Amino acid sequence: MPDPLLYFQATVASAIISAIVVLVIAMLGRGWEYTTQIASALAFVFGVGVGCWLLNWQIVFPPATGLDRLFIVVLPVVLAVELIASAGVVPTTVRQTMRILLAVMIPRVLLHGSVYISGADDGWTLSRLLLTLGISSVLLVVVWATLSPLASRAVGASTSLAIGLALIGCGMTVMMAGYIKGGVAAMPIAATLFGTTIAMLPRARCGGGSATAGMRMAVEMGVVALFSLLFVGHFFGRLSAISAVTILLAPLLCWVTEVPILRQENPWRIGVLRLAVVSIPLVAVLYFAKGDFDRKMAPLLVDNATASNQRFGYCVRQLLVRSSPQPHLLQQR
Amino acid sequence: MRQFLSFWTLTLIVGLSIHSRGNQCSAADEYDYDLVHSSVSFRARHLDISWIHGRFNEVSGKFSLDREAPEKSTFELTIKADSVDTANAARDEHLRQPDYFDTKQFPTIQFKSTKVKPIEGGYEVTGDFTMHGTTKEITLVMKGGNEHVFKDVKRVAFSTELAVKRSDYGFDKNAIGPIGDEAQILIDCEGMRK
Repeated sequence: MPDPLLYFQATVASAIISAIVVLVIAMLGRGWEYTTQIASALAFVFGVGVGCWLLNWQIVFPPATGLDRLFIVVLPVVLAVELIASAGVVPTTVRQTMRILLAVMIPRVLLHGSVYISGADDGWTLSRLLLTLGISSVLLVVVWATLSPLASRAVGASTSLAIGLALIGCGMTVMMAGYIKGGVAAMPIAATLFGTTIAMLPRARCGGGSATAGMRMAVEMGVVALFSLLFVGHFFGRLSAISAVTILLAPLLCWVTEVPILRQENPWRIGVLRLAVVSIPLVAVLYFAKGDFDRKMAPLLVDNATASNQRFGYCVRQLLVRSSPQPHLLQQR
Repeated sequence: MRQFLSFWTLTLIVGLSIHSRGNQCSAADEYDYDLVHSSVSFRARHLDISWIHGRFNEVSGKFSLDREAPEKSTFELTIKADSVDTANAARDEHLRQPDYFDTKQFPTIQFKSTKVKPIEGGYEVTGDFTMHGTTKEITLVMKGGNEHVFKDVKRVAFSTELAVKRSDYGFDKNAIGPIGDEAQILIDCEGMRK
Protein backbone atom coordinates (compact mmCIF):
# COMPACT_ATOMS: atom_id res chain seq x y z
CA MET A 1 0.00 0.00 0.00
CA PRO A 2 1.58 3.36 -0.97
CA ASP A 3 2.73 5.38 2.03
CA PRO A 4 3.64 8.88 0.79
CA LEU A 5 4.86 9.99 4.23
CA LEU A 6 7.33 7.10 4.40
CA TYR A 7 8.54 7.84 0.86
CA PHE A 8 9.05 11.48 1.78
CA GLN A 9 10.97 10.58 4.94
CA ALA A 10 13.22 8.17 3.03
CA THR A 11 13.84 10.74 0.28
CA VAL A 12 14.76 13.51 2.73
CA ALA A 13 16.97 11.15 4.75
CA SER A 14 18.82 10.04 1.60
CA ALA A 15 19.47 13.66 0.59
CA ILE A 16 20.69 14.66 4.08
CA ILE A 17 22.91 11.59 4.55
CA SER A 18 24.54 11.92 1.14
CA ALA A 19 25.20 15.64 1.72
CA ILE A 20 26.72 14.92 5.15
CA VAL A 21 28.95 12.18 3.71
CA VAL A 22 30.22 14.53 0.98
CA LEU A 23 30.92 17.36 3.45
CA VAL A 24 32.66 15.09 5.99
CA ILE A 25 34.89 13.42 3.39
CA ALA A 26 35.66 16.74 1.75
CA MET A 27 36.80 18.02 5.15
CA LEU A 28 38.83 14.93 6.06
CA GLY A 29 40.41 14.38 2.67
CA ARG A 30 41.39 17.95 1.89
CA GLY A 31 44.31 18.05 -0.49
CA TRP A 32 43.83 14.53 -1.74
CA GLU A 33 43.18 14.40 -5.47
CA TYR A 34 40.43 11.79 -5.52
CA THR A 35 38.50 13.05 -2.51
CA THR A 36 35.39 14.08 -4.40
CA GLN A 37 35.17 10.84 -6.36
CA ILE A 38 35.37 8.84 -3.13
CA ALA A 39 32.90 11.24 -1.49
CA SER A 40 30.50 10.91 -4.41
CA ALA A 41 30.73 7.10 -4.35
CA LEU A 42 30.25 6.82 -0.59
CA ALA A 43 27.43 9.38 -0.65
CA PHE A 44 25.69 7.19 -3.22
CA VAL A 45 26.16 4.05 -1.11
CA PHE A 46 25.04 5.64 2.17
CA GLY A 47 22.28 7.82 0.70
CA VAL A 48 20.64 5.01 -1.26
CA GLY A 49 21.31 2.52 1.56
CA VAL A 50 19.62 4.65 4.22
CA GLY A 51 16.69 5.38 1.89
CA CYS A 52 16.15 1.69 1.16
CA TRP A 53 16.47 0.82 4.84
CA LEU A 54 13.83 3.39 5.78
CA LEU A 55 11.59 2.04 3.03
CA ASN A 56 11.86 -1.35 4.75
CA TRP A 57 13.31 -2.89 1.62
CA GLN A 58 13.56 -6.67 1.50
CA ILE A 59 17.03 -7.54 0.26
CA VAL A 60 16.87 -10.88 -1.51
CA PHE A 61 20.06 -12.76 -2.21
CA PRO A 62 20.61 -14.25 -4.72
CA PRO A 63 18.70 -11.50 -6.50
CA ALA A 64 15.45 -12.80 -7.95
CA THR A 65 13.84 -9.77 -9.57
CA GLY A 66 14.99 -7.05 -11.94
CA LEU A 67 15.00 -4.51 -9.13
CA ASP A 68 17.06 -6.81 -6.87
CA ARG A 69 19.60 -7.25 -9.66
CA LEU A 70 19.79 -3.46 -10.11
CA PHE A 71 20.62 -2.83 -6.45
CA ILE A 72 22.73 -5.93 -5.75
CA VAL A 73 24.60 -6.36 -9.03
CA VAL A 74 24.35 -3.43 -11.46
CA LEU A 75 24.84 -0.39 -9.24
CA PRO A 76 27.74 -1.85 -7.16
CA VAL A 77 29.56 -2.98 -10.34
CA VAL A 78 29.09 0.42 -12.03
CA LEU A 79 30.27 2.15 -8.86
CA ALA A 80 33.40 -0.03 -8.74
CA VAL A 81 34.15 0.55 -12.43
CA GLU A 82 33.67 4.30 -12.08
CA LEU A 83 35.98 4.40 -9.06
CA ILE A 84 38.67 2.52 -10.98
CA ALA A 85 38.14 4.73 -14.04
CA SER A 86 38.31 7.95 -12.05
CA ALA A 87 41.52 6.90 -10.26
CA GLY A 88 43.39 7.70 -13.48
CA VAL A 89 45.47 4.52 -13.42
CA VAL A 90 43.80 3.05 -16.49
CA PRO A 91 44.16 4.49 -20.00
CA THR A 92 41.18 6.34 -21.51
CA THR A 93 40.55 3.62 -24.12
CA VAL A 94 40.33 0.93 -21.43
CA ARG A 95 38.03 3.18 -19.38
CA GLN A 96 35.69 3.71 -22.33
CA THR A 97 35.78 0.00 -23.21
CA MET A 98 34.80 -0.88 -19.63
CA ARG A 99 31.85 1.51 -19.82
CA ILE A 100 30.70 0.13 -23.18
CA LEU A 101 30.94 -3.42 -21.83
CA LEU A 102 28.84 -2.37 -18.85
CA ALA A 103 26.26 -0.80 -21.13
CA VAL A 104 26.08 -4.05 -23.10
CA MET A 105 25.79 -6.20 -19.98
CA ILE A 106 23.28 -4.14 -17.96
CA PRO A 107 20.12 -4.86 -20.04
CA ARG A 108 20.98 -8.57 -20.16
CA VAL A 109 21.57 -8.71 -16.39
CA LEU A 110 18.30 -6.92 -15.67
CA LEU A 111 16.35 -9.38 -17.82
CA HIS A 112 18.10 -12.44 -16.37
CA GLY A 113 15.79 -15.39 -15.67
CA SER A 114 12.74 -13.62 -17.07
CA VAL A 115 10.35 -14.85 -19.77
CA TYR A 116 12.28 -12.74 -22.30
CA ILE A 117 15.44 -14.79 -21.78
CA SER A 118 13.99 -18.20 -20.89
CA GLY A 119 11.81 -18.33 -23.98
CA ALA A 120 8.64 -18.82 -21.92
CA ASP A 121 7.07 -15.95 -23.87
CA ASP A 122 6.48 -17.19 -27.42
CA GLY A 123 6.48 -13.65 -28.81
CA TRP A 124 10.12 -13.18 -27.82
CA THR A 125 12.28 -14.77 -30.46
CA LEU A 126 16.07 -14.70 -30.20
CA SER A 127 16.37 -12.08 -32.93
CA ARG A 128 13.81 -9.83 -31.22
CA LEU A 129 15.63 -10.24 -27.91
CA LEU A 130 19.02 -9.41 -29.45
CA LEU A 131 17.57 -6.38 -31.22
CA THR A 132 15.97 -5.13 -27.99
CA LEU A 133 19.17 -5.64 -25.99
CA GLY A 134 21.19 -3.94 -28.73
CA ILE A 135 18.92 -0.88 -28.96
CA SER A 136 18.83 -0.59 -25.16
CA SER A 137 22.62 -0.73 -24.89
CA VAL A 138 23.03 1.87 -27.64
CA LEU A 139 20.57 4.18 -25.88
CA LEU A 140 22.45 3.82 -22.60
CA VAL A 141 25.84 4.47 -24.26
CA VAL A 142 24.47 7.55 -26.06
CA VAL A 143 22.96 9.10 -22.92
CA TRP A 144 26.02 8.17 -20.82
CA ALA A 145 28.50 9.57 -23.36
CA THR A 146 26.45 12.71 -24.02
CA LEU A 147 25.86 13.72 -20.42
CA SER A 148 29.27 12.83 -19.00
CA PRO A 149 31.13 15.73 -20.70
CA LEU A 150 28.43 18.19 -19.61
CA ALA A 151 29.04 17.26 -15.98
CA SER A 152 32.66 18.37 -16.36
CA ARG A 153 31.69 21.94 -17.28
CA ALA A 154 31.52 24.80 -14.80
CA VAL A 155 27.73 24.39 -14.59
CA GLY A 156 27.96 20.61 -14.27
CA ALA A 157 25.82 20.64 -11.14
CA SER A 158 22.72 21.36 -13.20
CA THR A 159 23.30 18.17 -15.23
CA SER A 160 23.25 16.12 -12.06
CA LEU A 161 20.12 17.94 -10.85
CA ALA A 162 18.47 17.38 -14.26
CA ILE A 163 19.07 13.64 -13.93
CA GLY A 164 17.63 13.86 -10.41
CA LEU A 165 14.51 15.48 -11.88
CA ALA A 166 14.30 12.77 -14.54
CA LEU A 167 14.60 10.14 -11.79
CA ILE A 168 11.68 11.70 -9.90
CA GLY A 169 9.64 11.79 -13.13
CA CYS A 170 10.61 8.15 -13.74
CA GLY A 171 9.58 7.14 -10.21
CA MET A 172 6.19 8.83 -10.42
CA THR A 173 5.46 7.49 -13.90
CA VAL A 174 6.42 3.92 -12.98
CA MET A 175 4.29 4.17 -9.83
CA MET A 176 1.31 5.49 -11.79
CA ALA A 177 1.75 2.60 -14.23
CA GLY A 178 1.06 0.31 -11.26
CA TYR A 179 4.57 -0.76 -10.21
CA ILE A 180 4.82 0.94 -6.82
CA LYS A 181 8.09 -0.55 -5.59
CA GLY A 182 9.83 0.18 -8.89
CA GLY A 183 8.73 3.80 -8.72
CA VAL A 184 9.65 4.27 -5.08
CA ALA A 185 13.15 2.93 -5.82
CA ALA A 186 13.86 6.07 -7.85
CA MET A 187 13.26 8.41 -4.92
CA PRO A 188 16.31 7.67 -2.72
CA ILE A 189 18.55 7.69 -5.81
CA ALA A 190 17.22 11.07 -6.94
CA ALA A 191 17.56 12.43 -3.40
CA THR A 192 21.14 11.16 -3.20
CA LEU A 193 21.98 12.97 -6.43
CA PHE A 194 20.44 16.20 -5.08
CA GLY A 195 22.23 15.86 -1.73
CA THR A 196 25.61 15.08 -3.32
CA THR A 197 25.36 17.88 -5.88
CA ILE A 198 24.25 20.56 -3.43
CA ALA A 199 27.00 19.58 -0.96
CA MET A 200 29.60 19.82 -3.74
CA LEU A 201 28.36 23.15 -5.11
CA PRO A 202 30.51 25.44 -2.90
CA ARG A 203 33.65 23.54 -3.86
CA ALA A 204 32.74 23.58 -7.55
CA ARG A 205 32.14 27.34 -7.39
CA CYS A 206 35.62 27.81 -5.93
CA GLY A 207 36.90 26.28 -9.13
CA GLY A 208 37.74 22.86 -7.77
CA GLY A 209 38.48 20.59 -10.69
CA SER A 210 38.10 17.57 -8.44
CA ALA A 211 34.55 18.71 -7.58
CA THR A 212 33.54 18.35 -11.21
CA ALA A 213 35.07 14.86 -11.20
CA GLY A 214 32.85 14.00 -8.23
CA MET A 215 29.83 15.40 -10.02
CA ARG A 216 30.69 13.45 -13.13
CA MET A 217 30.61 10.29 -11.05
CA ALA A 218 27.21 11.28 -9.62
CA VAL A 219 25.94 11.92 -13.16
CA GLU A 220 27.21 8.56 -14.39
CA MET A 221 25.62 6.68 -11.49
CA GLY A 222 22.42 8.66 -12.02
CA VAL A 223 22.30 7.83 -15.75
CA VAL A 224 22.73 4.10 -15.10
CA ALA A 225 20.10 4.14 -12.33
CA LEU A 226 17.67 6.12 -14.52
CA PHE A 227 18.13 3.79 -17.48
CA SER A 228 17.81 0.66 -15.32
CA LEU A 229 14.66 1.80 -13.53
CA LEU A 230 12.98 2.71 -16.81
CA PHE A 231 14.10 -0.58 -18.33
CA VAL A 232 12.72 -2.59 -15.39
CA GLY A 233 9.54 -0.47 -15.37
CA HIS A 234 8.97 -1.17 -19.05
CA PHE A 235 9.87 -4.86 -19.24
CA PHE A 236 8.48 -5.99 -15.88
CA GLY A 237 5.89 -3.29 -15.23
CA ARG A 238 3.51 -1.51 -17.56
CA LEU A 239 5.54 1.59 -18.39
CA SER A 240 5.13 2.38 -22.09
CA ALA A 241 8.20 2.45 -24.33
CA ILE A 242 7.48 6.01 -25.45
CA SER A 243 7.32 7.29 -21.86
CA ALA A 244 10.50 5.40 -20.93
CA VAL A 245 12.48 6.74 -23.89
CA THR A 246 11.20 10.31 -23.37
CA ILE A 247 12.24 10.32 -19.70
CA LEU A 248 15.64 8.79 -20.54
CA LEU A 249 16.36 11.35 -23.25
CA ALA A 250 14.97 14.36 -21.36
CA PRO A 251 18.29 15.21 -19.59
CA LEU A 252 19.96 15.50 -23.00
CA LEU A 253 18.11 18.82 -23.35
CA CYS A 254 20.79 20.23 -21.03
CA TRP A 255 22.81 20.61 -24.25
CA VAL A 256 20.43 23.41 -25.29
CA THR A 257 22.49 25.84 -23.21
CA GLU A 258 25.60 25.00 -25.20
CA VAL A 259 24.45 27.08 -28.16
CA PRO A 260 26.79 30.09 -28.59
CA ILE A 261 24.21 32.72 -27.50
CA LEU A 262 23.53 31.06 -24.17
CA ARG A 263 26.96 29.65 -23.47
CA GLN A 264 28.34 32.93 -22.09
CA GLU A 265 25.41 33.46 -19.74
CA ASN A 266 25.66 33.51 -15.98
CA PRO A 267 26.11 29.89 -14.68
CA TRP A 268 23.05 30.24 -12.44
CA ARG A 269 20.89 31.28 -15.39
CA ILE A 270 22.25 28.41 -17.46
CA GLY A 271 21.50 26.01 -14.62
CA VAL A 272 17.93 27.25 -14.20
CA LEU A 273 17.37 27.20 -17.96
CA ARG A 274 18.62 23.61 -18.20
CA LEU A 275 16.29 22.44 -15.43
CA ALA A 276 13.36 24.29 -17.00
CA VAL A 277 13.98 22.78 -20.44
CA VAL A 278 14.42 19.26 -19.05
CA SER A 279 11.20 19.63 -17.05
CA ILE A 280 9.05 20.17 -20.17
CA PRO A 281 9.06 16.58 -21.53
CA LEU A 282 8.95 15.21 -17.98
CA VAL A 283 5.80 17.19 -17.18
CA ALA A 284 4.25 16.06 -20.47
CA VAL A 285 4.97 12.39 -19.67
CA LEU A 286 3.57 12.82 -16.15
CA TYR A 287 0.43 14.43 -17.56
CA PHE A 288 -0.27 11.48 -19.84
CA ALA A 289 0.69 8.98 -17.13
CA LYS A 290 -1.81 10.64 -14.77
CA GLY A 291 -4.53 10.38 -17.43
CA ASP A 292 -3.71 6.71 -17.93
CA PHE A 293 -3.71 6.16 -14.16
CA ASP A 294 -7.11 7.85 -13.78
CA ARG A 295 -8.60 5.64 -16.47
CA LYS A 296 -7.08 2.30 -15.48
CA MET A 297 -5.83 2.27 -11.90
CA ALA A 298 -7.84 4.85 -10.01
CA PRO A 299 -11.10 2.85 -10.18
CA LEU A 300 -9.35 0.16 -8.14
CA LEU A 301 -8.38 2.67 -5.48
CA VAL A 302 -11.73 4.47 -5.38
CA ASP A 303 -13.26 1.49 -3.60
CA ASN A 304 -10.48 1.55 -1.03
CA ALA A 305 -10.75 5.29 -0.62
CA THR A 306 -14.52 5.06 -0.20
CA ALA A 307 -14.19 2.31 2.38
CA SER A 308 -11.44 4.24 4.12
CA ASN A 309 -13.53 7.43 4.07
CA GLN A 310 -16.47 5.51 5.46
CA ARG A 311 -14.29 4.17 8.26
CA PHE A 312 -12.88 7.65 8.81
CA GLY A 313 -16.40 9.10 8.90
CA TYR A 314 -17.45 6.42 11.37
CA CYS A 315 -14.48 7.20 13.61
CA VAL A 316 -15.21 10.95 13.48
CA ARG A 317 -18.86 10.34 14.32
CA GLN A 318 -17.86 8.11 17.24
CA LEU A 319 -15.45 10.76 18.47
CA LEU A 320 -18.10 13.48 18.22
CA VAL A 321 -20.66 11.34 19.99
CA ARG A 322 -18.23 10.57 22.81
CA SER A 323 -17.03 14.16 23.22
CA SER A 324 -20.51 15.74 23.10
CA PRO A 325 -22.51 16.06 26.36
CA GLN A 326 -24.70 13.01 26.85
CA PRO A 327 -28.32 14.13 27.54
CA HIS A 328 -29.09 11.20 29.81
CA LEU A 329 -25.96 11.88 31.87
CA LEU A 330 -26.90 15.56 32.17
CA GLN A 331 -30.32 14.56 33.33
CA GLN A 332 -28.79 12.31 35.97
CA ARG A 333 -26.70 15.18 37.26
CA MET B 1 22.69 -81.00 -19.68
CA ARG B 2 23.21 -79.38 -16.28
CA GLN B 3 24.52 -76.21 -17.93
CA PHE B 4 21.60 -76.22 -20.34
CA LEU B 5 19.09 -76.49 -17.45
CA SER B 6 20.72 -73.71 -15.43
CA PHE B 7 20.71 -71.46 -18.52
CA TRP B 8 16.96 -71.98 -18.99
CA THR B 9 16.29 -71.53 -15.28
CA LEU B 10 18.12 -68.20 -15.39
CA THR B 11 16.24 -67.15 -18.49
CA LEU B 12 12.93 -68.03 -16.83
CA ILE B 13 13.77 -66.07 -13.68
CA VAL B 14 14.84 -62.98 -15.65
CA GLY B 15 11.76 -63.24 -17.85
CA LEU B 16 9.42 -63.52 -14.90
CA SER B 17 11.09 -60.62 -13.16
CA ILE B 18 10.77 -58.39 -16.26
CA HIS B 19 7.14 -59.46 -16.66
CA SER B 20 6.32 -58.67 -13.03
CA ARG B 21 7.96 -55.24 -13.38
CA GLY B 22 5.97 -54.66 -16.51
CA ASN B 23 2.83 -55.44 -14.57
CA GLN B 24 3.82 -52.97 -11.84
CA CYS B 25 4.29 -50.22 -14.43
CA SER B 26 0.96 -50.83 -16.05
CA ALA B 27 -0.79 -50.65 -12.65
CA ALA B 28 -0.39 -46.87 -12.67
CA ASP B 29 -2.88 -45.01 -14.83
CA GLU B 30 -1.70 -41.72 -16.25
CA TYR B 31 -4.10 -38.82 -16.51
CA ASP B 32 -3.92 -35.40 -18.12
CA TYR B 33 -5.44 -32.32 -16.49
CA ASP B 34 -8.77 -31.59 -18.17
CA LEU B 35 -8.93 -27.80 -18.41
CA VAL B 36 -12.62 -27.86 -19.41
CA HIS B 37 -13.80 -29.62 -16.26
CA SER B 38 -11.26 -28.33 -13.76
CA SER B 39 -10.54 -25.07 -12.04
CA VAL B 40 -7.91 -23.39 -9.92
CA SER B 41 -9.45 -20.52 -8.03
CA PHE B 42 -8.46 -18.41 -5.07
CA ARG B 43 -9.82 -15.93 -2.62
CA ALA B 44 -8.17 -13.32 -0.44
CA ARG B 45 -9.44 -10.97 2.23
CA HIS B 46 -10.13 -7.36 1.23
CA LEU B 47 -9.77 -4.79 4.04
CA ASP B 48 -10.29 -7.76 6.36
CA ILE B 49 -14.06 -7.48 5.87
CA SER B 50 -14.80 -9.33 2.63
CA TRP B 51 -13.36 -11.76 0.09
CA ILE B 52 -12.05 -11.13 -3.41
CA HIS B 53 -12.40 -14.16 -5.68
CA GLY B 54 -10.33 -14.99 -8.70
CA ARG B 55 -9.14 -17.85 -10.84
CA PHE B 56 -6.32 -18.91 -13.13
CA ASN B 57 -7.53 -19.68 -16.62
CA GLU B 58 -4.46 -21.47 -17.97
CA VAL B 59 -3.52 -24.59 -16.04
CA SER B 60 -1.87 -27.80 -17.13
CA GLY B 61 -0.81 -30.91 -15.30
CA LYS B 62 -0.81 -34.65 -15.09
CA PHE B 63 -1.04 -37.33 -12.47
CA SER B 64 -0.46 -41.04 -12.32
CA LEU B 65 -2.53 -43.18 -10.00
CA ASP B 66 -1.33 -46.52 -8.82
CA ARG B 67 -4.20 -48.18 -6.99
CA GLU B 68 -2.08 -51.14 -5.86
CA ALA B 69 0.89 -49.12 -4.68
CA PRO B 70 -0.52 -45.63 -3.96
CA GLU B 71 2.84 -44.32 -2.74
CA LYS B 72 4.04 -44.61 -6.34
CA SER B 73 1.38 -42.19 -7.55
CA THR B 74 2.50 -38.75 -8.69
CA PHE B 75 0.81 -35.37 -9.08
CA GLU B 76 1.99 -32.33 -11.07
CA LEU B 77 0.28 -29.04 -11.70
CA THR B 78 1.49 -25.93 -13.53
CA ILE B 79 -0.47 -22.68 -13.37
CA LYS B 80 0.27 -19.82 -15.75
CA ALA B 81 0.39 -16.79 -13.45
CA ASP B 82 -0.36 -14.46 -16.37
CA SER B 83 -3.83 -16.01 -16.68
CA VAL B 84 -5.03 -14.53 -13.38
CA ASP B 85 -8.66 -13.43 -13.68
CA THR B 86 -10.56 -11.56 -10.97
CA ALA B 87 -13.32 -10.29 -13.27
CA ASN B 88 -11.67 -6.86 -13.36
CA ALA B 89 -9.16 -6.26 -16.17
CA ALA B 90 -7.40 -3.36 -14.44
CA ARG B 91 -6.93 -5.36 -11.24
CA ASP B 92 -5.69 -8.38 -13.22
CA GLU B 93 -3.14 -6.15 -14.94
CA HIS B 94 -2.04 -4.84 -11.55
CA LEU B 95 -1.72 -8.35 -10.13
CA ARG B 96 0.60 -9.30 -13.00
CA GLN B 97 3.02 -6.52 -12.06
CA PRO B 98 6.17 -7.01 -9.96
CA ASP B 99 4.45 -5.78 -6.78
CA TYR B 100 2.35 -8.96 -6.89
CA PHE B 101 2.90 -12.03 -9.13
CA ASP B 102 5.67 -10.49 -11.28
CA THR B 103 4.62 -12.71 -14.16
CA LYS B 104 7.44 -11.64 -16.47
CA GLN B 105 9.96 -12.90 -13.93
CA PHE B 106 7.97 -15.79 -12.45
CA PRO B 107 5.62 -16.98 -15.20
CA THR B 108 4.38 -20.14 -13.50
CA ILE B 109 3.12 -21.47 -10.18
CA GLN B 110 3.98 -25.15 -9.83
CA PHE B 111 3.31 -28.12 -7.63
CA LYS B 112 5.21 -31.40 -7.91
CA SER B 113 4.55 -34.26 -5.53
CA THR B 114 7.34 -36.00 -3.68
CA LYS B 115 5.34 -38.31 -1.39
CA VAL B 116 1.84 -39.76 -1.65
CA LYS B 117 -0.01 -41.48 1.17
CA PRO B 118 -3.48 -43.00 0.88
CA ILE B 119 -6.03 -41.72 3.39
CA GLU B 120 -9.73 -42.29 3.77
CA GLY B 121 -11.48 -40.70 0.81
CA GLY B 122 -8.36 -39.69 -1.06
CA TYR B 123 -4.65 -39.09 -0.75
CA GLU B 124 -2.33 -37.02 1.37
CA VAL B 125 0.13 -35.56 -1.10
CA THR B 126 3.34 -33.88 -0.01
CA GLY B 127 5.30 -31.94 -2.60
CA ASP B 128 7.18 -28.83 -3.65
CA PHE B 129 5.03 -25.77 -4.24
CA THR B 130 6.78 -23.00 -6.17
CA MET B 131 5.27 -19.54 -6.37
CA HIS B 132 6.96 -16.19 -7.06
CA GLY B 133 10.31 -17.98 -7.33
CA THR B 134 10.13 -19.47 -3.84
CA THR B 135 9.73 -23.20 -3.28
CA LYS B 136 8.26 -24.64 -0.08
CA GLU B 137 7.18 -28.12 0.88
CA ILE B 138 3.45 -28.39 1.46
CA THR B 139 1.00 -31.19 2.11
CA LEU B 140 -2.32 -31.32 0.29
CA VAL B 141 -5.30 -33.43 1.25
CA MET B 142 -6.67 -34.56 -2.11
CA LYS B 143 -10.24 -35.68 -1.68
CA GLY B 144 -11.88 -37.86 -4.31
CA GLY B 145 -10.28 -40.30 -6.66
CA ASN B 146 -13.48 -41.92 -7.91
CA GLU B 147 -13.38 -43.14 -11.48
CA HIS B 148 -15.95 -42.64 -14.18
CA VAL B 149 -15.84 -43.82 -17.76
CA PHE B 150 -17.51 -41.37 -20.10
CA LYS B 151 -17.50 -42.01 -23.85
CA ASP B 152 -14.72 -44.59 -23.46
CA VAL B 153 -12.48 -42.18 -21.57
CA LYS B 154 -11.68 -42.95 -17.95
CA ARG B 155 -11.85 -39.91 -15.73
CA VAL B 156 -10.75 -39.34 -12.13
CA ALA B 157 -11.27 -36.20 -10.09
CA PHE B 158 -9.77 -34.67 -6.95
CA SER B 159 -10.43 -31.56 -4.90
CA THR B 160 -8.15 -29.79 -2.48
CA GLU B 161 -7.66 -26.49 -0.73
CA LEU B 162 -4.57 -24.81 0.59
CA ALA B 163 -3.86 -21.60 2.43
CA VAL B 164 -0.68 -19.71 1.57
CA LYS B 165 0.82 -16.60 3.07
CA ARG B 166 2.06 -14.32 0.31
CA SER B 167 4.82 -13.01 2.56
CA ASP B 168 6.22 -16.57 2.83
CA TYR B 169 6.72 -16.63 -0.93
CA GLY B 170 8.71 -13.44 -1.30
CA PHE B 171 5.84 -11.11 -2.13
CA ASP B 172 6.66 -7.55 -1.12
CA LYS B 173 5.39 -7.05 2.45
CA ASN B 174 4.85 -3.36 1.75
CA ALA B 175 2.46 -4.20 -1.09
CA ILE B 176 0.22 -6.45 0.99
CA GLY B 177 -1.95 -3.49 2.03
CA PRO B 178 -5.73 -3.82 1.80
CA ILE B 179 -5.56 -7.34 0.38
CA GLY B 180 -4.75 -9.79 3.16
CA ASP B 181 -1.49 -11.68 3.39
CA GLU B 182 -3.19 -15.06 3.35
CA ALA B 183 -4.81 -16.42 0.20
CA GLN B 184 -6.84 -19.59 -0.09
CA ILE B 185 -6.34 -21.64 -3.24
CA LEU B 186 -9.04 -24.09 -4.28
CA ILE B 187 -8.14 -26.77 -6.81
CA ASP B 188 -10.76 -28.95 -8.49
CA CYS B 189 -9.00 -31.18 -10.90
CA GLU B 190 -10.45 -33.72 -13.31
CA GLY B 191 -8.05 -35.96 -15.17
CA MET B 192 -8.56 -37.86 -18.42
CA ARG B 193 -6.64 -41.08 -18.90
CA LYS B 194 -4.07 -40.82 -21.69
